[in-house]
Amino acid sequence: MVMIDRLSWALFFALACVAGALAAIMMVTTFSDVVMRYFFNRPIAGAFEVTEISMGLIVFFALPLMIRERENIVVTILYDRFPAPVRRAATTVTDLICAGLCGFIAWRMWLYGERLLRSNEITLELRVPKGAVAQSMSVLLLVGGVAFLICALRAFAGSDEGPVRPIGNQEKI
Amino acid sequence: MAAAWEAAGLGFLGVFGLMMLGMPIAFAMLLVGLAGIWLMFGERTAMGMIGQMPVNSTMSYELSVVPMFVLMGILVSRAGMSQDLYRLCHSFLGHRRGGLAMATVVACGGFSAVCGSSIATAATMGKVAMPEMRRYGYADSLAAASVAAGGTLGILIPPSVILVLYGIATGTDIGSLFIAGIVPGILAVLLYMAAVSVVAHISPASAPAAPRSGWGERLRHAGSVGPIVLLFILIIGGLYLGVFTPTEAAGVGAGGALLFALWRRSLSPRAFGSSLMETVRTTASLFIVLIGALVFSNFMNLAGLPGALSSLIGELGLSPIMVIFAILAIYLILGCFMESLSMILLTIPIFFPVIIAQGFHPVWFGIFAVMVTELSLITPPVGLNLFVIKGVIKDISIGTIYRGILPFVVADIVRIVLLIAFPALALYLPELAAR
Repeated sequence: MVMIDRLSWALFFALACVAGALAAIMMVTTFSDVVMRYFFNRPIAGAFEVTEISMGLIVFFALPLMIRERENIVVTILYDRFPAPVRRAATTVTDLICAGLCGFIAWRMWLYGERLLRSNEITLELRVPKGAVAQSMSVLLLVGGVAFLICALRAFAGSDEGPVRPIGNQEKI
Repeated sequence: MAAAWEAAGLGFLGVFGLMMLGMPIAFAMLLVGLAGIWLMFGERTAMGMIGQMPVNSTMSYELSVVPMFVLMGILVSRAGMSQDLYRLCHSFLGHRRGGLAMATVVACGGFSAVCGSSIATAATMGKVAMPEMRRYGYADSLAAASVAAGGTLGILIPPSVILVLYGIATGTDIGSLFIAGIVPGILAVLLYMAAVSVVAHISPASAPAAPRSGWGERLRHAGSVGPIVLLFILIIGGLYLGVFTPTEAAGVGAGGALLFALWRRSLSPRAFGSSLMETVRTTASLFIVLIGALVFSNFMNLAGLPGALSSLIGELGLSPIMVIFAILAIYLILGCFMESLSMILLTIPIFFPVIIAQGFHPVWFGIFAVMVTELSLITPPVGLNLFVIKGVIKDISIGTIYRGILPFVVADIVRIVLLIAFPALALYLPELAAR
C-alpha cells in the first residue's frame, strides 16, 4: 500500500510537471507573440492555438496531483464539527463517488474524442487533431479518478484526515 | 413551472447536502447537474453534454488569463514586493493618526493590482502589516480588520480571477469588467481610509501616529516598487486602449513579473519551477469548479429556473431595485458558508438572465456581484477573510477581529448603495474605453 502510494504520487507529480512546463510555454508564447506583433509586426503563427490547447491540457495534467493533495475547494463548516470516525467515513464515501464520477466522465470524453477523430476535426493553423487532445484529457481524468481512489483508501485506513484545510488552497489564488 | 421549482429545489438541496459532507464543490455540482439532466431530459442529452463540456470549456483562449495572472501574482509575491509596497505606503502615511492602518489599506489595494484573490491578498499583507502595526501600538482589532477589509480589494481591482470566470460564464467582455473594477476599487480604498480615520478619531489610543519619514526614504521605497507599478499601468493601459486582449495582457503581466523577479535576483530556477507547480495546481482546482458550475447551470437552465424566477418576480410585482436587494440578501446568507468563487459560479447562471431582463448592464452586475461577495467575506460570524487573518496571526482572538470590522462593513455597505445609485461608477470608464 505504501509502495503504491509513493509510486502513484511520483506519477501524479510528473504529470503536474508537464502541466507546469505547458504553463511556461503558454506564457512565453503569449509574451513573445505580443512583443513580435507590436514591435516587429510579425505575430507568431499558431500562438492562439498553442495557448488554447495548452490551457485545456494544463488543467487535466495538474488534476491528479491536485486531487491527491486534497486541494479541491471544499466547504468544511459542518464537516469540521463531525466526530473523527464520521469524518473518515464521509471522506471515504465522497472520494469513492468522485472516483466513479471521474471514470464515467473520462469514458464519455473518450467517446467524444473518437467522434472528433472520425470526423477528422483538426485545428486551423497547427492541424492538431482535436480528438487526440480530447482523448489525452480523458486518460488524465481517469488518472484523476485513480487519485481519488487512493485518497479514499487513505481515508479509510485512517492515514489521511480528509480535507483539513478550512479553505482548500484558496490562499494561493 | 412547478417542475422547474421542484428540480431547482432538489438540485440545490443535493449540492448543499454533498458539500456539507465534505465533497469537493466541483464534483457535487457535476454529480447533481449530470443526474438531474439525465432524469429530466433523458440519457442522450446527459451523455452528449458530459463528454463535450470538459473538453470544450477548458480548451479556451480566454481562460488562459487565469493561470497567467495567477503566475504573475506568485512571482511578484516571491520577489518580496509586499514588504516594499507596505514600507512605501508607511513612509507616506505613517505619521498621520491611523496612518499605518491606512497604509495597510492602500498597500492591499496596490497588491490587488497584481493579484486576483482576496484571500491571497489578506494572507500576504497580513504577514507584513500586522507586526508593524503592533510595533507602533495599534489596537489589534483595528489592525486585523484593516488587513481583512483591505484584502477584499483583491477580487475587485484588476486583474481578478472572479471577474474572468464571471465573464466566461456570462459571455461578458473581460477587458470591460477589468476596467469597470478600477473606480469602485479606488472608491473602496478611500472609504476604508475614511473608516480608519473615524476609528482613530473616536479612540486615538488605538491608532497612534508613527514618526514622519523623510523624502529620501520615500523615494528609495518608491524606486523598488516602481517597476511593478509600471507593469500594472502597462497592462491596464493596454486593456483600456484596446491594444491588448485580456489574454495578451496576462501574458505581458506574467512575462514582466518574471523579468522583474530576475532583475531583483529573487528567483532561482527551483523557485520558478515551484511557482509554476503552484500555478497549475491552483488553476486545476479553479477550473474543475468552473466545469462543475457549467454542468449544474446547464441543468438549471434546461429545467427552466431563470424563466420561473422571472415570472415569479412579475407576479410579485417586484421593482428592479427590490430584485437587486433580494439578491444582495441571498448573497449575504450564502456568504456565511461558501467561499466567493463557488458562490458566484453557482448563482450567476440563475441570476444573470433575470437581472438582464430587468434592464441591468452585464458589466455593472459583475461588479455588483463581486462587491457583495467582498462584503460577505468580512461579515461576521463567518467572513472567510476574518479566518484568514486569524490563521496568519495566531495570537489574536476571532472576537477581537469581529470588534474591529464593523466600520469597514459600514464602508462596504455605503459603497454598494453608491454603486446602485450611480451605476456610472462602474460603467463610465468601460464606455469611455469603447469609444
